Amino acid sequence: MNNKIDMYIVCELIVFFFALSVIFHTVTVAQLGGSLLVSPDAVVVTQELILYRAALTGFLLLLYVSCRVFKKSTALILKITALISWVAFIEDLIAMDDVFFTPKLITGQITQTLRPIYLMAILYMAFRASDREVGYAAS
Amino acid sequence: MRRHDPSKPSDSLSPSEIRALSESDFRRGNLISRALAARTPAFRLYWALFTVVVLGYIIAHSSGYLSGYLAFGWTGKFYDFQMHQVRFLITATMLACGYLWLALGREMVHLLVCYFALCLYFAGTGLARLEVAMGDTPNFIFLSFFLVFHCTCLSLLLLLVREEIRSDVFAHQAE
Repeated sequence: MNNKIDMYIVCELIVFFFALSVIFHTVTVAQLGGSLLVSPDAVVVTQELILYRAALTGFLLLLYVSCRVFKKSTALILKITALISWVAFIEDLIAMDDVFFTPKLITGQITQTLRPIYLMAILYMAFRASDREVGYAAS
Repeated sequence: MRRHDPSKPSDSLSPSEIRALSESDFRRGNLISRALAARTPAFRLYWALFTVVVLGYIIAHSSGYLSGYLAFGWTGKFYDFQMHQVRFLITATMLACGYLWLALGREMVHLLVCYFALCLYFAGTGLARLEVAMGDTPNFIFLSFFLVFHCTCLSLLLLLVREEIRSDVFAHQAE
């Protein structure tokens, strides 16, 4: 019996779970208001940036799902998603000082905890998809 | 005068050797020149324009002239300043990676599309931040300059993608 787990599927599950938690967290913060955030700066920045990030994540996710359903190439979408995710992460870490982190909310904690795992998973998926396409092109 | 010994190699090059050297890739410059020579003239033009535009941004940022106009100049918040620094660093890295990719002779379509997406992200979030930072007294001159700069970059990247695909098609036809 073959019990080998496909890492790509595992990474896909991580990415989907992270995307869902981001969208859910954004909606929760938007509904509950700025009282949850850790600093006054966070209130201003979150209301502007977090919506764009969630919209972008949702859009790229939809694009990826549609490509998978119609059996189109996913390497380029994954590369774009990985690049923007890493840039957003660097911006948050260095410039924003993790202002999006909301310790009072469980969704904020889940998003923040899942983020490094998600970044590695999306990078792995981008490399795997790219390798697969190069392999198809060579054969 | 000493006579030339035919068993030893000659010090001077024969006309056929000089002709062969001049026709080879050896004299055609460095890796980047060779990579650009393998692409269409339009690609070379757009690439030069893109480099000039990005270098212009890097120079303007390094001189400190931009800080007064971007979000930091309006809000005075430190995170806005750090955000500029991070984006400046990413832009400089993008340009360096572009040249590295070109020098390595790799296929550039995916890289250029990724740059397009990243530029769109910078334009969207930057414009939204500026709009809020400026508040009731927006500087329309700077806003239009900001828009023109990003639209130029995005258009050049799209044109570069088109020309890269054309260069690839021509290279296959030549083969």
